[in-house]
Amino acid sequence: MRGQAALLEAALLVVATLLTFVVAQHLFKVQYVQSDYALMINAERILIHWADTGVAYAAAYGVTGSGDPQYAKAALETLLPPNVGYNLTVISLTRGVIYTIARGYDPARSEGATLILMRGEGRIISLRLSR
Amino acid sequence: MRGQVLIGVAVLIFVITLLLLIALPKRTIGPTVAIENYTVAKREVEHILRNAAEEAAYATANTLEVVLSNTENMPDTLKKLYTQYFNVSFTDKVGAYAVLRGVFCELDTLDVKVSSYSGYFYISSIYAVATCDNGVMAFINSAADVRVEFKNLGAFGGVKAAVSLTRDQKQIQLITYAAALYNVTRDNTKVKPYRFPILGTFDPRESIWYFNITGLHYIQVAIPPEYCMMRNPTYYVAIATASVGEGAATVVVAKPSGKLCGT
Repeated sequence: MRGQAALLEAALLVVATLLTFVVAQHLFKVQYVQSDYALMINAERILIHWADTGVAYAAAYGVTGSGDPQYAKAALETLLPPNVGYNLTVISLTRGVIYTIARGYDPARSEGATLILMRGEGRIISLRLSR
Repeated sequence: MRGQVLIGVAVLIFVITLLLLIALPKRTIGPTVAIENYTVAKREVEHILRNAAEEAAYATANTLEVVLSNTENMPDTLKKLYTQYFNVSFTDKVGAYAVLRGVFCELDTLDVKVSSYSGYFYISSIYAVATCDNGVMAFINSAADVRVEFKNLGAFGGVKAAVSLTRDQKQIQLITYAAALYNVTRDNTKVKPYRFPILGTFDPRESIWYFNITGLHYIQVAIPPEYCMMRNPTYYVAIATASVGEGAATVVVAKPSGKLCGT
């Protein structure tokens, strides 16, 4: 009888310990996933900031209507640290890709966001970031 | 007894972990991404409204013949024409947007106001609200303040418009503009407005860009001698002004009351 009780106690101990590990792993997993998504959030926040300040129009259209890659490059590099790579592509809805600029970009480890502007024939600004 | 203590410790660790999981601030990614995604979607729809407001101003100025052909209640006709172009432009843009994002939006409210003064009238405010099937709701609220002066410049006549565009009480510093002269001749019962381009063209891509830190923009237009010599002018000066992606725009229609040049 005492032996069975000890066995039961040991079993309960194992179950409780395992459950603790499972719960803790879930806790860590959330943090792990966040670091992946941080790039996407950063890309979205940059595009939102650009939409709010008019930089999006300067980058996607410029004065000539064909975009301004130099301006976009300067605007991006003031916001991103050197260890973050980027790929910015501006696409016209009728003319296709207008320009692409990149720096230390690794597509395999990238996350990104897009912003659609409908001035004139419309533009898609695609910003992807990688570490 | 030793076993019970061990179980007690294990249960305590488990409960504490569980409590931490519940009580700690949820720094999970789901809600944060949802906020960013919503903000991007909202900005996109907001910018569709803004672009529609700007492009409708140029389209209106480009087809002012409709307004000028009928001298009765011109400000009201201007309002109707602008509203019509805003609707067309918005529908066109949300159609393309629906194809790209799979989100359908519609224009809920469009309120356009036209102000009239002696010798000129203009679109003084635009308020529009759009709602989409993904729950996004966006609006624009812009205003224009315009003062027009007619000047005798000797060989030429002059029209000087002081334009101030605002969005959400914030003055717009970068604008685009274009101006044209419409001469309205009456042949028996037929009214024939004839357009004479003065500054740029009524197309956002070919208009003139103008940046002024103060937000007050002076648009000065020279009237050619063949028109400014008229004692009873039959011409109107049309000026279209719009911001770049801010959603503020106006169309000014001015008519001098007498000779604008010479002695």
